[in-house]
Amino acid sequence: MGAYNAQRLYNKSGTYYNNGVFAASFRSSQGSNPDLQWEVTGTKNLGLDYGFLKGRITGSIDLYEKTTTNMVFPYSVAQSIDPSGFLWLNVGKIRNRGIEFSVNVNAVNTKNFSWNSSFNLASNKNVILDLKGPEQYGVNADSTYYTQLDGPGTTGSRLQILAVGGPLGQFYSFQYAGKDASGNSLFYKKDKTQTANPSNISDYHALGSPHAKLMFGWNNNFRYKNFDLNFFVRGVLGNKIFNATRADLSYVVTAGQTNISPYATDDKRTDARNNNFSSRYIEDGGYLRFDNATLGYRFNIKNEYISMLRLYATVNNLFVITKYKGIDPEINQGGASLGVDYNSFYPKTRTILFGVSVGF
Amino acid sequence: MKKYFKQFIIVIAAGLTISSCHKIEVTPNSLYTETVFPKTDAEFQSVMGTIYTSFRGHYSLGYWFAQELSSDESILPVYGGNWFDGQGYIQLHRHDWNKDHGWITTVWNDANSIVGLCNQTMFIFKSAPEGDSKNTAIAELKTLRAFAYWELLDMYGNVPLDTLYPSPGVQAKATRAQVFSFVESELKAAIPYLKTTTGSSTYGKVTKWMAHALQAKLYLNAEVYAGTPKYNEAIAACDAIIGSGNFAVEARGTYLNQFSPTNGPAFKEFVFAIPYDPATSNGYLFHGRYDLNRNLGIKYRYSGSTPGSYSFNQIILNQTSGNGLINAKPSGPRATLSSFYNSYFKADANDIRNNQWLVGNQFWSDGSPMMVSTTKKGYDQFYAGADGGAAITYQLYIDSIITARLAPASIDCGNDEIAWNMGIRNIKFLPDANSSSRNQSNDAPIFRYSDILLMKAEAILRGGTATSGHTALSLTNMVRSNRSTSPAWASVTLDDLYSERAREFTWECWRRNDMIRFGKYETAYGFKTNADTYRRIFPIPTAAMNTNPKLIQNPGY
Repeated sequence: MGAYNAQRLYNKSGTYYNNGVFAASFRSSQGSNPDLQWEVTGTKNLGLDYGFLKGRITGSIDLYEKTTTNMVFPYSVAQSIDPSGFLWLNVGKIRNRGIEFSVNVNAVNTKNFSWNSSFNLASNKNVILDLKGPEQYGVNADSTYYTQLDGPGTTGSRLQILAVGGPLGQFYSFQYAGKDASGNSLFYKKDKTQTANPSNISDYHALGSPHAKLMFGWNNNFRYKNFDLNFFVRGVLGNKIFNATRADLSYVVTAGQTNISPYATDDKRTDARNNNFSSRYIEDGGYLRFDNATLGYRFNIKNEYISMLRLYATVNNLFVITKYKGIDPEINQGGASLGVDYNSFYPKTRTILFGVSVGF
Repeated sequence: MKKYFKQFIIVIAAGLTISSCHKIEVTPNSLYTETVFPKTDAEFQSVMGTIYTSFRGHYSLGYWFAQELSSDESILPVYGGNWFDGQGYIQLHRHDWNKDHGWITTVWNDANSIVGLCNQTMFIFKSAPEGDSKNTAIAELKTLRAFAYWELLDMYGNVPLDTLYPSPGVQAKATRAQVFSFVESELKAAIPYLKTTTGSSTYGKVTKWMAHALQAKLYLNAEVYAGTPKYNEAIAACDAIIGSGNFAVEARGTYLNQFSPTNGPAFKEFVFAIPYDPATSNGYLFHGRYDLNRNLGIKYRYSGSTPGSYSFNQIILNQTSGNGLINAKPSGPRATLSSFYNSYFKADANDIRNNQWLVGNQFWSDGSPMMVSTTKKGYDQFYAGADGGAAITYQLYIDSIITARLAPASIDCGNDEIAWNMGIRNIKFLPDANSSSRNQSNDAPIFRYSDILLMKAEAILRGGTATSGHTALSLTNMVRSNRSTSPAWASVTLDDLYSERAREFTWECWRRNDMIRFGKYETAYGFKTNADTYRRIFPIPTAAMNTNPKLIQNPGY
């Protein structure tokens, strides 16, 4: 929580005409809430650590349930409560429930060769249980639409919703229904009939979660004589990404004037709604990333000047296996509007490193 | 000696430490919190100033769309999906908006935010020193709040009356008649304390005359708002303004100047206007952006457009290179319907107000034709020949007829030169040649003296008692004689006044209000066939219902 979240703040709000000159005006940019408190998180945890075969196989299983109440968030309030239209309030309840599993295997350990492998799995389910605020503020954040992006012909659309029963970041947008006979994009209205002309918000549907169902990581250490090798592979499964970047680049009406996404080449130029944010641009965000690997060789040198000499090569981000059509499935995650790819992050770089380490 | 010196230093150091401890009792604040702001008179003024800042962001954008696009005066069609925006603009035209409509939500938020700001500012002013200036400030705030409530009353009908800050909690809706009475009584209470001076010192701010003008609007529409006509009260409010002698009808030759980028306090017709200035403030008066044809950027120097070293007769638009030609293309989606233009602007060739429109062949200021270079396919996206990429050059022609060539269901005209050249354009608020952004310097009048005269004329025609020797006809001709060189009218009916108001206040956010008062809001025009009468008020936006569970949706929605 920031130092000033509970206090009224004034800020420059522009200018106003004051006897021939435009003078600076100030307004309350944030309402005060003297009752603002810290969020409360209750955690239940059940853990099991295990070891077999004289410690050659070790690991743990953890079950947890984390319930956060009094979530602190700038909630929308009626302008009569505060003209800024929002207040930092303690509202709602959110639950994270999950399981974490890890195993570490000391598979081989001989003089010339050793192999150590560890694997972990994690699954988490996030659900909003309640979004009611203090009675006098009338806040019911249920059905708060957010993440507004503006593209050609899509001004005012929102991509996500905060709603009870759904996860944080629930995608909420038009549902794509294919094309009509003349190649125009169709969408499902709220009543499930099809239309080429959907209305913002009124015709939105719940379209999946940005949260991964499963996260995994696999780490391996090999040693053979003087060589050593380490690699780490990790990934996620079962999450969705709103590829708003692709929607934005698909506006086929301007083909001929601007470059168009190759995924839109089958769209007709008269399909004026093909770039509208919809389930068409919500993609499977699962991936497997070869995160890093290091191969090293240790020389058998030991004298009064050098105690150790090792040459090594490291590669980071060697490859990614994914169905995601965007530049990188590992998009910025954080805050409430997570899982939206909108030209808003730098993709991970691939680096190759050669090194010498010398001990004296 | 050395030892004593050492002790002396320690004593001084201790003293310094103690005194600096004292100073830390002031709460360090890197931000404007309410413990440190506002304190001075100028700071109080700057807090009140924010309400005027809010008006500027609101009136010429969201409020404009709600008032004008839902009328027969203006249309913002779709251009190959451009400006579709989830039906945001075409729903206003077709009268099939719903409670999630973006602009209807924006306008609700804007007006309620002004109410909230006024309540809050009155609360802040409690700590200001007592006296005349405080009384005037409170009266000014009450009038601004009454204006915002008048907007809410006009657009949403039944809204909660929130008058206190800090708020005791969200309120249930009041009836439209109750909101009417509130605005009425607030204005009555405020008027005795308001400033009576006009000119630069009060320009863009609340004066007694602004409050009377709002009163006149309120009373003229009393039958719509509260079910009871109050035409004599409307006449009295107009008479207060007329009797002040502070205002005059602008002459025919300067009628359009009062909407130009150089307008301001010198224009005697402005009773209340919102000042805009692109150099020091932005405020969403984007008429050039919305209203100019896409090919007219250079001619009107839109957003820094220049012809470079070309002379006008050499310029062929759409060129992408050469001689520093800078063509900032206006977005250019907004037009009027030919039915509106034909009904009100064809009959009298001598009327200066005809000059606010652009239609037909377009020329540079030196008279040479305005040529546009494109391809056959760029001109007409439906061109089927194999040589669609072949270059053509044509003279810019603004077609008065708007045709939904691409998709009638979404009023989609297509995305080619033919489509973007459809629809008569309005340049009443002349694009600002000196602005390098979308912002313009044109001030937006809310109440003009000609409106006061025509409101009084209408109130008389609707049964009010004529005063000061004025008749409906004489008042109407006071305006008309400054607009047209044609002979004065010999008679005037309500229908005539309705037409005259269309001519006089085009693009000034009055058309929806007029159409409803004259019972014409349900007529068919353009692409609109819907005649639901419940649409005379907008729905309470879903976003507002979410933050106030006591709200009940307006009937029909």
